[in-house]
Amino acid sequence: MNKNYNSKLAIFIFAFPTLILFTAFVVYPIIPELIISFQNNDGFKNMGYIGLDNYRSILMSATFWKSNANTILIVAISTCVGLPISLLLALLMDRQTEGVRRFFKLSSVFPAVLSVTVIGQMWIAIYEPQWGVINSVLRSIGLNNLALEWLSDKRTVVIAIAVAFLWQYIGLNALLFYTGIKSIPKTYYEAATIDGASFLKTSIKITIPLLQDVTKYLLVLSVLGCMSQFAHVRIMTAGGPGDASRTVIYELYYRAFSASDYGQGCAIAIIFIIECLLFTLIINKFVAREKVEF
Amino acid sequence: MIKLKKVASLLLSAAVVASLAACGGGNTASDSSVSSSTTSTSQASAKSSEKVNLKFLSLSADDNRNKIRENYIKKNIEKDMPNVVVEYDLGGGGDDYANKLKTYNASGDMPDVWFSEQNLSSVVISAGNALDLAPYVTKTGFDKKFTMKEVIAPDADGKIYCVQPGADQYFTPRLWYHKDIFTKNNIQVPKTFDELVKVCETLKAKGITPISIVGKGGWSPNLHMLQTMIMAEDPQVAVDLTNNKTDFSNPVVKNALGRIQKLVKVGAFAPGITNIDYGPAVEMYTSNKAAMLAMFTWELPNLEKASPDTDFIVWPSAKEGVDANAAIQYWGAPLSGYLVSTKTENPEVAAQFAMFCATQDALFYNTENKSMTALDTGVKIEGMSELAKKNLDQFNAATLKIPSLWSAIYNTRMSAEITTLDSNLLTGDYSPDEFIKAINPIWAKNFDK
Repeated sequence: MNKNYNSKLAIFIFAFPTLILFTAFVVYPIIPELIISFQNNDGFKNMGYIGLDNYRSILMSATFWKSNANTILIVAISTCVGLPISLLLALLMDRQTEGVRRFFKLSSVFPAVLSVTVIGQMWIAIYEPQWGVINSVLRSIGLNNLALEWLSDKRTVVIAIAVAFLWQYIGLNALLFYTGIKSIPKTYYEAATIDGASFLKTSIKITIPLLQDVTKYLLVLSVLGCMSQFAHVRIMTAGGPGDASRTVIYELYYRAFSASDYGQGCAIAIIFIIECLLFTLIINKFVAREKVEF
Repeated sequence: MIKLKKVASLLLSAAVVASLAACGGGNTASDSSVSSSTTSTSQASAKSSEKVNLKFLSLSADDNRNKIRENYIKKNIEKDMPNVVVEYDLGGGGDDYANKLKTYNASGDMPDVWFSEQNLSSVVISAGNALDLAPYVTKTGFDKKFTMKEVIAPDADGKIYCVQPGADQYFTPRLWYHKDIFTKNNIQVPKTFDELVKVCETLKAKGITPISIVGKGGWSPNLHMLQTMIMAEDPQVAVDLTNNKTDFSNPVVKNALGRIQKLVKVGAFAPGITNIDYGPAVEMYTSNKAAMLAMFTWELPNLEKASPDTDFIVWPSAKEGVDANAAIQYWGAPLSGYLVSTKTENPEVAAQFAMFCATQDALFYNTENKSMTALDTGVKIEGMSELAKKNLDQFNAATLKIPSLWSAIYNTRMSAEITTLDSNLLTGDYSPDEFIKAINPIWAKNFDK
């Protein structure tokens, strides 16, 4: 009993500073945000409590739903396309010689540490309709019809931004997968080799199942990272053309800072928190539920 | 064991004392600098030899603003205000600048002095963060230096929140064009909107971008093109909009929106127009990739320097009987200029610095741009180019001068919304009706206090 008490006390003592910091910097700021979301507030003064009006306006706004759809599209591209590519790169990296692997590691991290401004400008140049790399290549091989105005066309702009975002983090994710692969005991592979298993079979039967903790971690990181996508949109299109490429966070920024409606901005923030919690719960519920130990 | 503990505790104590001493030393040094600056700030007006620190937020995204800051303010401050030490806060331009200023405003922690345009100034003033400069302006006789008294006139509440060079009042949007490209392609200067459309079609067919505009965030339609198109048909409607006597459902406004849409559809603008920023738009013209440039006259010196074959067209009229030369829109607004924070520690020095900045601004325009300012700097403008003379003559000859809707009329909400809608308009698949339906509810609240 005494031992148990001591153990709980110890846990409390060790967790207390972190809990205080978490409460002060994460939980506490949500409270004023929640209060402002019920106000007619321009960021400088509260012009009265208006109940659920801000939430009503937001939920009835076509732009808000469009920004949600854009965000989900970016999440889908980054996770459904980006993570498998990262995993494939990690599997390939594992089979290379040390020199190639070192080059791979270095070049993987490089885009992730570059400033988003640099990445954004680089992709603006790549997508430039008249002299950008993509359209130049397409024209040179006779595919003039596919040479689009990537960042000015409402049909392509979100995908174009998602690709830039995906490109930036694909290498870093590959490196994290690779770290996971290296932590798998070699004995499994030795046994598989003796049994004559191919690279594909080894990857499917051993590597991928044993990477589920890393996969879950990257999935949460990737989904939440994409959900809060802002900088790439700000730099590459400023949410345009019109409001075509706004994400939820960009819409929040637009309402709060550009349109000076902090009440609506905070309402979006509260809805966004709920959305993020839902996504995290779904991932926790359905991905990597069984703990694999090796 | 006990001995070891003693040694350890002794070492720990020594380390703690040493680190505290180090921190304390650091604090003393910084405290002294802070306290000395604070003291000097509060006593600066009494003893001009003591240094006063001021934080100055300025636009840093366009050449003119950078030249004013680097070649005039920074250069002359040491001579004119030797007791002032300025910390320059470079805020970028456009939305970035606006958001930075709004964030400062929301926190209440404003820079001592900053530059802002009408819609931003209004926000800061309503938050109570802008100082009334009237006592300093009258005390120094700064108000006597203006040739246009409305530029330094008090606001509705009798206070003067802003000092400015009065250069903006002379800025107007023009349609600049390359004479060489027109001559080479046997193109006549268009006098009507229909002729302009034909010129665009001809140029487009020859592989030349007809008109370069700033499309990102709908910049050109926001700042001038929509108003220009309204004035091309009926200038009185623009006047009515400035006085809140009509709204965007006015048929003239609808036609104006339709004309912008038509230009988009005939390919008057470069591909990917909604993502072309200020710099690339100007560069597209100066590098001869575009035959025309829709831009304000503040770019005149840069344009004639970069492209000596530059001339301008008065925006063509869109209705028979409308004289395109008779009405002109000007950029200036009463609250566009330098403002001072109410929380500045030395309001007198900050106000003097704001007036100094306005003067340097005017000097830049008088000497480098050879352009007029309402603030009389005593500089006689000599060597004005033929193009600048032509521009000034046409400006002075206009009988109706209408303030810019963007710079003088729109509030922040309206500016934000019209930015989105103008950007939509530039895609070519957004109809005037959709535009009007979206903007009218926002416009209805534009004049709310």
